[in-house]
Amino acid sequence: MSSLEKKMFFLPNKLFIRKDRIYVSFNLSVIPSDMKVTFMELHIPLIKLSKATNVYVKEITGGWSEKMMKKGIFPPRSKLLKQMKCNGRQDNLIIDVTIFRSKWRLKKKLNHGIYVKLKDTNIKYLEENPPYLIIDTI
Amino acid sequence: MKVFHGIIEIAGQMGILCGALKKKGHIAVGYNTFQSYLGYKDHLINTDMFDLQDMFKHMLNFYDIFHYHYGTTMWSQFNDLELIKKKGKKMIMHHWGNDVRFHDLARINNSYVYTGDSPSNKDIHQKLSVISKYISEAIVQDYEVLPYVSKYYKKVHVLPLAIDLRKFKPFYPEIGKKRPLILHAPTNPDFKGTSYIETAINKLKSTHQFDYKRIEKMNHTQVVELYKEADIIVDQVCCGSHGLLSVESMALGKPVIAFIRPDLIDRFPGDLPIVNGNPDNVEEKIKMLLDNPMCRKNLGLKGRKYVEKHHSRDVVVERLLAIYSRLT
Repeated sequence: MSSLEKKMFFLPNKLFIRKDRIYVSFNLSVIPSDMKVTFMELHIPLIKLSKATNVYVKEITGGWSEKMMKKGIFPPRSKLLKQMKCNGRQDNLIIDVTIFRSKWRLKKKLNHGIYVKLKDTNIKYLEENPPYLIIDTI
Repeated sequence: MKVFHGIIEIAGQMGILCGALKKKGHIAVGYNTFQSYLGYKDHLINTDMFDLQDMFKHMLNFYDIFHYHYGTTMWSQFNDLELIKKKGKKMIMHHWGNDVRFHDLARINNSYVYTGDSPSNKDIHQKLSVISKYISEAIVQDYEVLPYVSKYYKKVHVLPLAIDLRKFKPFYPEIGKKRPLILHAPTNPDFKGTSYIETAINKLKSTHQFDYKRIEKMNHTQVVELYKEADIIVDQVCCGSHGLLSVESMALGKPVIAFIRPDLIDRFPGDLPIVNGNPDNVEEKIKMLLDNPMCRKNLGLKGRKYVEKHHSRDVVVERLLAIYSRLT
């Protein structure tokens, strides 16, 4: 196995799954100030994916909570940031989210996380297999 | 493998173990809710109980092993342990000493020991009784801590303190130095026996040429820089076993004085090069090192070798992985 020594791992501080959509955010304000983040990727475990699908990524631009989401109150989102293809054989969907490294780390009030849609895919299992963030630091 | 460490960082050990596990390709995160002037941050997420409890659901699903430290867990009354056990995840508790040092038991073989930092016997017993209902195996750092917890767990492993040797290049004492420097770093003066050490040092000032520095309230990185200049390091002379300061000092190639209880000497590896000094003879031991520059250098050389063999994180992590692999 290759070394993961230079990497940090983060679990969601908020996660909501609805149909084929993921709303997820991470608290990165705890990264020590003398560390430099060079790369961030979001890992989404794919367990029961049987066919290829399209993936749409947007930034969540307003505050939200899991409690509000359960009541059907959803936060605003940005325009489409990224569109990807995901084949049926992948066991992990990896999305480069390095563009958020400053905002999520240094502007806590503007860090609402991201929205990922895996079109027409049942991803309910993610509630028990949460996405996570891998961060490269120096 | 995905390993949770939490929730109190003691002597940088959570971070060092997580770093070593990550080097072996495992996901390991140390969640620390006790942030002190020592400033530990490597491989840690410095957080608080509220954030941990918010993330608990995801942690429970994500991690394969929960390695708790210092008799603490994420929820009050140890409610998380029942949930983790129900989920079928593995758990282990790492005790470090003050969390479990029963006052009366500690005194049986050691009249010098200070246990003022430990909770009452009743509280320790209650805590261990609840924890061991859910966690069947524990880790301790040495045989001084072992008897406090052995009757509570099915199995207790002795895992030596770990050190990342890349951060400790040896600086062996100079034989020709006119005024050797003695260092002592009491995180807790009563526990370390600082008053005995300083009484001895004050007496020796009239007969010997040397400098003395007492290091306090400095972060760990700064302290290690100061250790490099030392010719003699006095660790703890009351507890009956050595602490991390001894390990770090040996890694830097320094001679170390600490008190190893006579009944425990045989439980340490035979090549332990620590000068065994207690409150009654610490003056004599410091004097011996002041009078023998060659001995200081030889002990420094032996100490470095000892630490490479027994305390290097790469050695310790293999033992830790073996413990994890047999957890049920």
